[in-house]
Amino acid sequence: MAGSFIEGRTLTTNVSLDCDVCIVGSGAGGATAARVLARAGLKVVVLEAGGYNRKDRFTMQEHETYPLLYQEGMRRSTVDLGIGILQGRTVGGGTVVNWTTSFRTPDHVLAHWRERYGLTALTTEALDPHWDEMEGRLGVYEVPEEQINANNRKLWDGADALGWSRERLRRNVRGCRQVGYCGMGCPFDAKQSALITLLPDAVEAGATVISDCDVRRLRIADGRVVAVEGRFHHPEEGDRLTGPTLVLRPQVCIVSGGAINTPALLMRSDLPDPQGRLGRRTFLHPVAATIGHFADTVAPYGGIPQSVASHHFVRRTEGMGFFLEAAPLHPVLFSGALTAHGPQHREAMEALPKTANVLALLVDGFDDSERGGSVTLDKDGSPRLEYHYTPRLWEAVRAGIEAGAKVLLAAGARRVLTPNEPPLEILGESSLHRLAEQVYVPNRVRLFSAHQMGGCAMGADPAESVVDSDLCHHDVRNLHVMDGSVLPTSLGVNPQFTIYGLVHRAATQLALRANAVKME
Amino acid sequence: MTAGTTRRGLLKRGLLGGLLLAAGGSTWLALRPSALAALPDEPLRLLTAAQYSILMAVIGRCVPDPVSTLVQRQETALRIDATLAGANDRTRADFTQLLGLLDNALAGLLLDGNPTPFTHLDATAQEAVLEAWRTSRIGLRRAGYQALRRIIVTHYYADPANQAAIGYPGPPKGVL
Repeated sequence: MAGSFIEGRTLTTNVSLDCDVCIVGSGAGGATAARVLARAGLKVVVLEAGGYNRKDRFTMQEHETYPLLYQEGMRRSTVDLGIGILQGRTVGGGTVVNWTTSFRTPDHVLAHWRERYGLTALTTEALDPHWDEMEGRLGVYEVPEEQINANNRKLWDGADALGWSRERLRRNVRGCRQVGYCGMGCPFDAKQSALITLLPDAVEAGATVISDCDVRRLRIADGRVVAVEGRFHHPEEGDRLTGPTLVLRPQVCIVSGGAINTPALLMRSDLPDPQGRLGRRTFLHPVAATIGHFADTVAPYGGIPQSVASHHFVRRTEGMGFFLEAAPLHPVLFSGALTAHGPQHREAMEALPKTANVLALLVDGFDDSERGGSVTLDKDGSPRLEYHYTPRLWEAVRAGIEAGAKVLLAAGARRVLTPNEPPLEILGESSLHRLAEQVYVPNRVRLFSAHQMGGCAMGADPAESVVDSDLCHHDVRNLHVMDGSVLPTSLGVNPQFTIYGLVHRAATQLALRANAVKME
Repeated sequence: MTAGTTRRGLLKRGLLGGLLLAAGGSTWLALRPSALAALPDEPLRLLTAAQYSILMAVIGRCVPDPVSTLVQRQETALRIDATLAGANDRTRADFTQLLGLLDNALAGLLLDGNPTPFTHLDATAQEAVLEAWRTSRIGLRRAGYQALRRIIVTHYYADPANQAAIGYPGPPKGVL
């Protein structure tokens, strides 16, 4: 029997339910788990804090869609404001607003995890069938060269001129209209987000998906999750929880709230954490974006937003690695990404149609000296993210900006502006040395993150991890964590397919075990 | 890359943060009241007249004449007011404290040797204050500059008319 999507904001009475599986969060992890487990015949309820926003609300207007689709209306950041956090909050989670880039986990990352964290089961061979299944369902294809837009082409041409490795990206879209508004939700249902693929599959198999529900805590008794407690809210009332309450009594609980909200929920639930691993080692792929002004129109807001990457520096030996991609630039996002104010800011805004950009995404977490960030609880129980900046990070920020500037100059930029505060203007290679003279401390360089990872790390050793390679909690055995928070390091690639692969594998095994128990 | 605002706990970090918070939050320590701007016709949802005036003064530096008109700056302030009205209590408190701190005479005296509130300064002197905040050795001031700057520019460019003025074509017509 088919299940349903329920808009929690419309509920007027308290909800109390028994179910086989409760999944908290409906992004890449939660939606994948829901599909697998509902198809295995289990009674699945998915709870999502964001709204049930479909394409009719994807208006291609930044001021309408960002408050609807992002955590904290796109105002989430580290506590010192040094790193802005772009993270989805809607039915389908980050898959609704991401730029569709689809990488499998690199071999060398899995090898590092096997060696350093004892995750011996995680081999490319073990994960390949899961990626095959997900890529098939989500329509992953490689962007043909003629579809690279002018913004991405600067990276493509610049890397080529410099002799740096480059590649065309794979993405999960069917029938792309190449309009450029992926970050505001696809108004054509061409992006194969969880909203229109995995979640409808789960609902067709009997799952119930309930939006507008903030899960406040898990009740633990005798080492098991016995209840999931939440409260409904209406988006017009901001973050205030004013609606009816919800109590679910699941046999199995899966938390898929992402790398910031998942550790916070487990902390609010007083989960056993004797080694203090929860909310530690949060990795962000911190991004430094460099822009270039060109003689001709670039229109960085149109076309396929992200189609090219360079991994030339991902394993650099001089310090933390980074990879290069481009971002779509729309006025609100761009105005906040620029540094400076007044006439200097305005001049850069007016150049938008002729602006291209290169992002340097820093690959944090591979050196034992790197702690990344940490999540703790604020007084009101909401997550508080701090990032532990290191000299190694700042060196890579500078090197990443330099690489971005070199690419843009090689592609013909007349002028480059760096994300330093105030921005450094670079007119040629001879002025790149001035990057070393800038001040590198929080809020003297604009940084942001579109990839949040870690905080509930996988590992064989319970003393240094939260879940095992099957994504099962070390102490609370009917609790699973299935989202980006389980990654023990960052990745050096966009994370959505790493989450799909790990979760599809773990959920498939969980379904076998759960049905075996049911048959007894 | 966010539609920036202050962040919970922003003003509560460290001893100096505590000192500044005490200065910014205490009306009896403020030596001079803010210079009040003309209020918009539309009622404010969260900000007080003084907070609105401080915000308008910073907006006047972030998107100054002739980039923007007075009406556009008022509309920007009203959009920020609406955003804050829908935000959680902590965000509201952080942001209003930040505005208070910028215009607080005692904080200015302690840190810059200048007791004149921001709203009483001319444009050149206001620029000097913002420059001091943006490049300050005190992390809290740098964060405060970024919080103000970002919430203003992201709300200014939220208006499709202001987007069109920089040559942004907006979504293609007739595709939906």
